[in-house]
Amino acid sequence: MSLAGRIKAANKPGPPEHSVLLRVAATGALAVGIAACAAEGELSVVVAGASIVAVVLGNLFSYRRRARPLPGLKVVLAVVAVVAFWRFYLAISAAHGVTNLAAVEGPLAVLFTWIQVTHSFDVPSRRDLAFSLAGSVTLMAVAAAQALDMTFALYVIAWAVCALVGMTAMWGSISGVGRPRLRTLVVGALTLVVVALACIIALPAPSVSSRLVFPSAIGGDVSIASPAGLEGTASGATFPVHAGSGRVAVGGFLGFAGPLDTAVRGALGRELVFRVRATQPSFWVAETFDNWDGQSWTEVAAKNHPGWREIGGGPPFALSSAGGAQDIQTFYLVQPGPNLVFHAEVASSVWFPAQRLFVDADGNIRSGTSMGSGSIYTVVSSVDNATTAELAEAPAPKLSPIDQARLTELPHPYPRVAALAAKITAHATNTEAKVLALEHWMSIHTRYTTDIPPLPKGADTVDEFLFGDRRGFCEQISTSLAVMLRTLGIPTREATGYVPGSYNPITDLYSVQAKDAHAWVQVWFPGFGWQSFDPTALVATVNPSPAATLGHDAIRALHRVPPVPTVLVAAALALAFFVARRRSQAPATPQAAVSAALERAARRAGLDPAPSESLSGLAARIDAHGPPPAGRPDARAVAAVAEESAFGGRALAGAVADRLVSDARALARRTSRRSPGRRPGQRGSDAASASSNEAPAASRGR
Amino acid sequence: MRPRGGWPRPTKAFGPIAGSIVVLLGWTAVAHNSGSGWVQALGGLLAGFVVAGLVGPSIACARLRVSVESNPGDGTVGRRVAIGVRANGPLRIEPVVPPGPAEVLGPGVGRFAVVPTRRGPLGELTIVVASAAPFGILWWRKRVVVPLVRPLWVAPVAGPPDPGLLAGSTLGAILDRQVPRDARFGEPRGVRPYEAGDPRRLVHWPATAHRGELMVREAERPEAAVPEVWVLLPDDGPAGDLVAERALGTLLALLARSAPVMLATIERGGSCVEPVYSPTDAGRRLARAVANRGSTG
Repeated sequence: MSLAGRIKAANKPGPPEHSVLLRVAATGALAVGIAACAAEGELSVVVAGASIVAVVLGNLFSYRRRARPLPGLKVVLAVVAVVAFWRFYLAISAAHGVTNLAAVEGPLAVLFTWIQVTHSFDVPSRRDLAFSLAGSVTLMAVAAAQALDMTFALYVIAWAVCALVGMTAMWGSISGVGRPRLRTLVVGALTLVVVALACIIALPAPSVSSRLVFPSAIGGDVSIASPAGLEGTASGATFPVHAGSGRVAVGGFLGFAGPLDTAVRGALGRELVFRVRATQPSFWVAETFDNWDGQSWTEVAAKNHPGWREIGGGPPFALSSAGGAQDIQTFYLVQPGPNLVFHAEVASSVWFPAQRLFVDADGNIRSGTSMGSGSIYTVVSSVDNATTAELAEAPAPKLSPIDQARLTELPHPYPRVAALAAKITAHATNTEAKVLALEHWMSIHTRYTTDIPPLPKGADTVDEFLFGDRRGFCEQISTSLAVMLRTLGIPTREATGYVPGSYNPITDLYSVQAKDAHAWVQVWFPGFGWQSFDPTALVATVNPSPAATLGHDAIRALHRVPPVPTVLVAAALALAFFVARRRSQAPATPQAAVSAALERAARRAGLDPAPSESLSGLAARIDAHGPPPAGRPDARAVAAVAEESAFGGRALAGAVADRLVSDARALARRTSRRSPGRRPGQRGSDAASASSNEAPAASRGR
Repeated sequence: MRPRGGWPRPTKAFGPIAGSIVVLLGWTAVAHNSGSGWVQALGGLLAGFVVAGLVGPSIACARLRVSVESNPGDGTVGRRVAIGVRANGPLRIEPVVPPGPAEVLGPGVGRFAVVPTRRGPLGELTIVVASAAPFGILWWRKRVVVPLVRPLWVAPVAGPPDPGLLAGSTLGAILDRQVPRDARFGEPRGVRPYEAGDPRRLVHWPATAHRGELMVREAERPEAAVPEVWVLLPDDGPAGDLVAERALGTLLALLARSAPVMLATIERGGSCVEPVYSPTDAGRRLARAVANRGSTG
């Protein structure tokens, strides 16, 4: 066949599809896809609503005209499709060009919707409906690319149901079965779930975070006035007025203010602060502090700043050219936050929707204005996670004299702390060993709690913590480690930010809650730069597999399942299944019911019905076994009526049929079981003369 | 006899499998590069559909059970024979031996047709059953041999009648007029006691009931000789079928003149010299006929 012939054959319209269920499912899948796009902001509500209505009307029209398509309709629809493509081209040309994929997504959703709406007016055959189902997948994909939270699961489930029903209806239409059977749907749904989970687990997904759990569930939100930092608008930020501006107390954590005051007792909530998409888990650094005054950490830069610099020109903002592996993080702010730009380790470039950013010598980044919820920015960081062996071989910390002094400076000598640190690290030969020895000691001798009394006026946080009851939270623990390290001459600074948060393998995002706010220590290693140490929670930042994450979550969810309602629901489902199964296996006609009942009666009596035996013959044997129940006809009479109605063309009235079946079942219930002592062939007058209740006794007496 | 079946195999699998792999790989690349977990989850669902659509039919096909519910006893080469079957699920049936048009049947009882290509008895059918459940993406098929409810005797098609035979002359091995006449044809004369070897159809039941012993009819020898046709097939292959076709054509021509016609054939149990009264009789006899393995006696 020539190419033209093949094309013509491929485009030959198929036979009209009569399955209403398939059409409804395809329409539903499209509607869900359009709604999902609208929910994720790809389509306006008006466009989405109009599109859904148009899709429904189009499919209705297609169904009515499936056998008689309108002449010239395809031409009109083709013109509309060309117009849609032209509008798409104009939209992306007017935006950022086709090189920016993010700018294409919106017009792409509109284009897909237009195509599907257009196509819905010409779906006469099964193949066209299959295309509609496939089109709904593209719409869902466009929406899924923008979905950030689990509410999108509702759309996915709705779409999956529509697609499942549509696909099984398609097979029903092919095979002529009609509506799909419930079992097919259930098996299909289970297959989908299992394979989808397996794929999510097995596919090379962007990786996941460590699971850091902090027992810091304290309610309340302490707000403080805007401390040091930048303020103003993106176009007119004034510098440097404050170290942070906007809302600095997020979920009760006060570490994003100018100073980190360890005397203040904050309260951490569980509200979602932001989500992060990252290639690997990290501490999300907000600020680092280098100046310790016995109670608060501050930035030297804030009071004696030589190097705050303003970076203009719009995104991307190039910050540093640090070595190490690149790690890209995208932050999706859920809560209004401070003007701090979070990042992992050392930020090298920032894609931030503003015209200017401010960076200090320690790598802290400020935006020109505070950020509201919905803000999105991306940071490219250089992550140099040195191994323990590498750190052990690192030479002793050497910095410029100014930095060495700044980063080991203490407000007073701390003799007891120094003696303790020296004692703990007596056998440590290098910086890394000293840090680990101190961490180990703190993990044994300190206890984490947020329920600690206020710091007495004039007291030193570290002295109070190490030589008091040694109870505190991340600020006290990390500060104590930092001070002990400084007494040993090791350059150290305090960092605040968030731990990675919980990873959601479905959304591929780290969900960072207010309770994930944290403070930890950074130690300088020549050749490796600042390395983070978290004495508060000795949890390695190792990537758990998605399978382990899902398994962990599943087990946790199972623990939360209330047993009694679950058992009740399971019992109800089992009962429903049992009833449905009984109904599906129930005899279709009264005659079949009578036959089944008489066979049951025969088996109870120990009479094996032969395959070739007629119902009357079997009934005769049953009657010979014993008399019928009182007030009931014998088996032969029941069988005669059943046979006459089944084969004689004599219809049974409803009441008569019910009575017949009732009689047969009564026979089945009352027929006595075969007595163990009965000899073969011993059924006859003596057995028949005994009543069903007397038969066992008669047998025993024989 | 129980149905015998093979392992399911996919039919025209390259397109669906290659298409599915391309779609899933593309989807994986997009999902991984976009970094969107929901795209990935959706891809997982898509993979679920693909896996269920590609692999599910193999299970459905393996679970398919087909049995013949009804079939006629007679058939003719080249003519459709309707076969009633019972299946435990929707399926497509494609008869292989003998061939026939493919039919899509639902669960329960259905019918399909076979077109016998060879003369002779048929005790079982070789069919290909296929299923694309649950989504109709890919067909998996398996070959099964299902026994018929009763043997299907396939008669040859009527070939051109032999002019020489119709003119009354012998035709080689096909016709031999030197065999003794049978006294079972002609005018009824009375009844006599049954003797070993008497055909069953000569039993006269009223007389048997009256006498209390088996009685058979007796007839006067006819005036005109009953045409006799001896069919000796050279083999059970196409050459034998060709001879059978010519014999049937000749028999039909003879029956059109006067019935019965004495037909001598060799069957599996030995030689059979019996009259045929109708085209159906003739077809059945020729369907049973086999090649002469021994002496032509």
